[in-house]
Amino acid sequence: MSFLTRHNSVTVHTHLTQEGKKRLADGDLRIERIAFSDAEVNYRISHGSGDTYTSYSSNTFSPSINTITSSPYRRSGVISTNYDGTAPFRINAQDIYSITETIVEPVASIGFYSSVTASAITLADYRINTSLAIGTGYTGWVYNTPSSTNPFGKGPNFNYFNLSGVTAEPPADGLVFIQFIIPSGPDVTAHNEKNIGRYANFFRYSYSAGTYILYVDRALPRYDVASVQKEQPMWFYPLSGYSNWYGSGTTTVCPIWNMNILHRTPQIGHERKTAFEPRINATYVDVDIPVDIPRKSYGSKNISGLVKSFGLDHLPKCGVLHYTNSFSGSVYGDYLMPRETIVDIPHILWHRSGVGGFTGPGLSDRGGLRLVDSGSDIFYDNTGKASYTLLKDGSGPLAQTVGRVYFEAKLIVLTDQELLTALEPKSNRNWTCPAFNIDLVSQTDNETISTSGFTGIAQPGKRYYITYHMVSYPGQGPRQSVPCAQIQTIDGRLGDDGQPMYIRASFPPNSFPFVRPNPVNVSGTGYNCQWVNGLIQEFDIEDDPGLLNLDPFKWRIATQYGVSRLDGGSTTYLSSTFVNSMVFYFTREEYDTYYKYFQMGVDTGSTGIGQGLGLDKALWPGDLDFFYGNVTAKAVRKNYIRNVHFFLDKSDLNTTTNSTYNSGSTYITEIMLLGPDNKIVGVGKPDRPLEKNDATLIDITMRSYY
Amino acid sequence: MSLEINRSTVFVDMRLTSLGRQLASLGRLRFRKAVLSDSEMDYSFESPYYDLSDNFVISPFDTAQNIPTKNFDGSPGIMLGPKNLIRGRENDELEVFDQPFFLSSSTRTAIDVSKCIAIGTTSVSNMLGTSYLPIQTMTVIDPPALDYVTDSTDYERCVGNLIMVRHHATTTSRVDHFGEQPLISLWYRINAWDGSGFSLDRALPNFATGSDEIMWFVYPWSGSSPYATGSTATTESLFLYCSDYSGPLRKTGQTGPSGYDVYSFDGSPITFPPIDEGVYYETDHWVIYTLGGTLIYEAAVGTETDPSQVADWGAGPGPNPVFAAHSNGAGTKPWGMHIVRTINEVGATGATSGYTTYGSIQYGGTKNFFGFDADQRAVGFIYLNEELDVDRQERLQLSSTTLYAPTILWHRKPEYISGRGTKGGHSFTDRKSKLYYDSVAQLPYSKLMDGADANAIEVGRVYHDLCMVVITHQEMLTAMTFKSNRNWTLPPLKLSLEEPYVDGTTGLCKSDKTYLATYVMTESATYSSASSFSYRTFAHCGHISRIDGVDGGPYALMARLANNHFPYMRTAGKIEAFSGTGWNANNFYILVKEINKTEFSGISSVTHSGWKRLTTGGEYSNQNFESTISPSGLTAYQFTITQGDYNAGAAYTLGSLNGDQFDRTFSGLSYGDETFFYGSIEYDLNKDPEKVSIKFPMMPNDFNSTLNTTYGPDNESTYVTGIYIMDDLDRVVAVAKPSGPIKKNYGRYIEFKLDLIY
Repeated sequence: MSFLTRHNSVTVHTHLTQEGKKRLADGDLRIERIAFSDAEVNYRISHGSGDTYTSYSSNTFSPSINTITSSPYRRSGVISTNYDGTAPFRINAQDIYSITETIVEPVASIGFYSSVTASAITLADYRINTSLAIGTGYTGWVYNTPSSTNPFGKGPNFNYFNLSGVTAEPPADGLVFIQFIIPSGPDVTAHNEKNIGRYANFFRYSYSAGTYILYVDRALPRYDVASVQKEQPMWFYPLSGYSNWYGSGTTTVCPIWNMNILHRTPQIGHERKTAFEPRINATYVDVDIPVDIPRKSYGSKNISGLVKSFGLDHLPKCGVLHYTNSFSGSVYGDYLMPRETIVDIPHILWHRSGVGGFTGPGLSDRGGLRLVDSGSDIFYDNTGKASYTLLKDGSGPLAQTVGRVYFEAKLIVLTDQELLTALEPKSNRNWTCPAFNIDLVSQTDNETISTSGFTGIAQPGKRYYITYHMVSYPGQGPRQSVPCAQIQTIDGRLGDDGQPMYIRASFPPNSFPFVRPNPVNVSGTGYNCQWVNGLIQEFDIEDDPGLLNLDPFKWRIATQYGVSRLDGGSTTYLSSTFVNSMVFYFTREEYDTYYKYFQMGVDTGSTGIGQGLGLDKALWPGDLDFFYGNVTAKAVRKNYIRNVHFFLDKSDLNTTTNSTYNSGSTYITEIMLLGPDNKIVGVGKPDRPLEKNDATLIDITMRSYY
Repeated sequence: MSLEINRSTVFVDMRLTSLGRQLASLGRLRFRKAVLSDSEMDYSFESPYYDLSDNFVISPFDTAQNIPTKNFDGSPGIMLGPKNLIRGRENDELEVFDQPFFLSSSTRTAIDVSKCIAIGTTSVSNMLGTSYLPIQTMTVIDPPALDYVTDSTDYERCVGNLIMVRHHATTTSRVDHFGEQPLISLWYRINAWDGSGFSLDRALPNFATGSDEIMWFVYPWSGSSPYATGSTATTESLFLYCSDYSGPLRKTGQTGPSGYDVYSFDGSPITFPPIDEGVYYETDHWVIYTLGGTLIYEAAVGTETDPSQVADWGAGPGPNPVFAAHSNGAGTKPWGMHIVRTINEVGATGATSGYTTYGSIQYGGTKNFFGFDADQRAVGFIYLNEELDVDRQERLQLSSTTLYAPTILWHRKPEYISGRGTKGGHSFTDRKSKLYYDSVAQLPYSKLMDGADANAIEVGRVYHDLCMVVITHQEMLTAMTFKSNRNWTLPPLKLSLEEPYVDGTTGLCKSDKTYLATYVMTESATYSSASSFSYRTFAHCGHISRIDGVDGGPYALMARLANNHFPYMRTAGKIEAFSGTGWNANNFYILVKEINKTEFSGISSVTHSGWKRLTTGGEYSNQNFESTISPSGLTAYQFTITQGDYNAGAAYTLGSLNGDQFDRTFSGLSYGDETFFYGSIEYDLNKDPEKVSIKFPMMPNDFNSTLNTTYGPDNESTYVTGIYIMDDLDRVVAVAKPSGPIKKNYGRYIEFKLDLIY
């Protein structure tokens, strides 16, 4: 039997000397020996007189507990001996090795919303962080401002209103985010800031100091219910979010993520020329908007190359969320931890979720969308040469993919066309629409078709692009918005009867959780629909221009109701169930004869989404450059560590040439790594002297981080 | 960051990939090839309305896999030869002026009160020679970095901390406590608070009469570390220059000028609202100076953030008054300072090992490291406070360091006639020093001198690589030692040997002995405008002179002091003449120790005991009917010390200045308890890490086409969005990304220079 000898394991951080760094830069940093010094020990202090004394801490005084060692400094020179006079020790090649250290750190939710809870944040916990707004305020009472005869949102006051209760007068130009509450809705102070399922959106505004009248870029919702008052909460934001405002600080963590949405196609039925004049009303005789308007006027063209590099340039719209700013620190480390990213967008009304209080079609009372990449496989984008996970609207098997998390690039890419539409202020809606389910049928149960004898449209050799547009009732609530961005294609063929088949379009079940049959239902949240236009374009397959090259002015809608254009007869507000049950048929007769070209501002109840402030203060699609939501992720920091391992045996370094030494233990104050020529290339300093005697073994690891 | 922010000037951000870092950790990182990419370009967006140079570029990220080994135009990667890889140092020099306790480089004596826990005043008439300091006014400041106190009345929390009292004797003219006058700035430790005043570790002067006030400043006992852990908030210093204004300064609610033009110290204008419109300023202390810098009003009440709450400003000084306002904040971290002694102080009582209970003994090994163990009884280490785990790349630039010690009264002031010094403080610099090599520490250093001319003397060393200043001058160390009870320095004693010229006396100095001598002075215990400031006991001269006995003796030991080295030592009648500043001496005694030559191994080994205070031959008191010793009389006096004088001398003891060996509770103050340098330091910080520059050109005829599928006939230029650096095995070891795409066409010659700093 024997007793174990005291065995210390010590890890010392190594600092490369100037010589070491030079050799590292040369790609030839070789470490061959290790040397030890006790130069910073005065042994006399502990062994001078033989007196017994104690220090204030009642510890017996010795160099090991009381001697301070200097921090590593710019060492140079050649070392030929250890402090005991022996030659520096040789290090075995296998004792120099590299390891990887991965540190995962949660990064708190960053974005425009703050949470009422610190952990396990749900969408319901979010409130708009007013400290990130330039100011807050309310609209004036919607009924009698600007005047009771011409109230808020009603002609000719389509695009201006009075300000009330502002914390500070807004700058002359900027963005304003408004949550709209119907006149009979809940009290404004009780519900503002939360992600209640209301219509909410950004507007560009123009303001003259002292006037307290705000002009915005497009028509406001209309709430002119006689004698009923209501004001709407609003938050002011800068036009250029990250570069000039949130992300300009170099020493403070940027509080928001950025977002750019690149548009490759114009909006369907884009506003005509007059829509860009200060007056909103448009006539459809002046048509000279170029097809390439996204390249000419839309924002976020600066991510076009990025989108292309990821091979996503086939999408009409592509959104990129990025954390770009001037902060000199690294918030998200080397990369994002895969499967740990959460993207929360509290103001979006997502057609698939009906988040919060969903008790049936059309009854969702809380907005918000949470996107996660948990459970995703890791994919490799061969075009972008980067790995990614799928971002979905849930984690279950039925969750729908809406984007990608390029975790190495610390980028989040949104690809869902409807989500991007709802995130785009100029779409004029914050709700999403479901994609049509389309198929071909030979027979229909449509009464109009039966009576009119309309025939199927789907001819062989033809390709059809189909989507739809939900028309809002113009007298109450949100104004018109853009058609569904989920454009479907189907190729024509003949049925068993030898005739071109009908294209049938319908909606998936439970697709309209926020469509209200009455503006005051569910506390006036959600939106309304008066009728739905089916939109279609037809091409010879061999001449198919492709999705990105469809003429925005060649979308056809029927001139009559009942077949591809459906309404509720005399019903002003269609119910969610009613809309959901609609079945559209596209026929040859409507396409060839009973059609017109769809135009925003003309076929949408006379108010459009043009540029109410004029072209010099336009808000174009793609102009919003910050992400109005929150991102929660985990940062991964990866360190490469060079370890140099050495073992001091019990017989090593038990005496010293230090002139103050008499007898007893020795103390190590510095450890030096030497190159082949004994030049010092690295230095490690323990935080206090290491005691060494013939009963002590020391297992030393010299560690350097890269 | 995810995307590079577009900047007007293109710069390239190069980053090692994961593999590159791994190879670096093994010391085998080599660069062999560069491949240019335009993969992040969509040329189809080029139009008269959009410049592709505005495109975003993704930041280089950790991994870079399957990157093509050809350039974007299909040409092979650019081979990097010796001409393309330039190694050297990235030289970056930064001029720094650290003034953690003072307000500006121009008014170096103006104390920044925002660094204090509290400040206040005491009437000189209440200074009664006890250790009790009665408080007349007091303001708790408590910088956020310290957060010592709970509220503005939490005076109790000052207990245990340090207090610097800026003494001056009673005088009819008000003294500027932020000015340059040679005040006696002494440091005490606060033992207790009784609701009216502080009990300190030792006795204060006994002024007893007079209408003026002295001012005091409370600092943290634990020194620089609380500041070091504090916020990085900076102290804002403002001068308010009130243009075209000659009336009294007014507070809110009173009529007055409509506004002020405000200038910072450097003269640049600052937007500042009118003072008389009730605007709240984030300030805690107001000082009003004239444009000439004369203090005319001081509102050291500290807690008001609204000028309306300040007592009436009173009558202004006439046109163009200037305000200085400074807010709370951590500001610059103080430089650490430790004065380590490896032997008991001369005259100490107690065990031989008593010095091991002095403060800063932890630095004893460091003293040994520099080889200061032979002749330096004490050494002061002044060092840049910084985290130990950062890779040190900085060093002090050679001959660039200057220390400003505003509260030290340095004895070598040739500009003053003895006793007539009117400004305190001194600066020490290495600017004229050559470079020396310390063969013990194996480090280069320059000499820190008390001036820049040929007569300057060395007071320490500047170790550039360590960012450390080592003070070796024993008197400078004594004046910076809290326990010494003085802030003035004393000149060394000059020794010589002579035949005893008085019959019947025997010389002291024998041939086998070594003689060590210094001196101690004292003041009378009670203030008198004719004879004493009453600073009473203070430390002996720290400079120990040595002379060896020679054959033929015994000879008398002769001692005298050099002329003109007592600039602040006042004579009778001058005690009030200089606003009560400076100090005096009523008694002077030479201290001598005799040891065997063979036992002498350096000043630092001479034990503390066995020193004699000479009263005959070595005393100078009441000479020539002087009520206080005059510098001229003292320096003209030749001391002659005989064996009889030595035999008659009494054992010298430090008395009340004895080191507190064991007590580190609130009552303790010992040698070495200093932890920060109370001054300012100006230096150039040199940072010169190793770097590799990868250089290669894009010639006009190269890289003007691309394999990018979006490139079309309408495109006229190509754009570089990334540069991949490969090693010998065509692995990507580094990625460089410009802040925006770099345009290339036949008209452009572009040279890349990618720097990697180690």
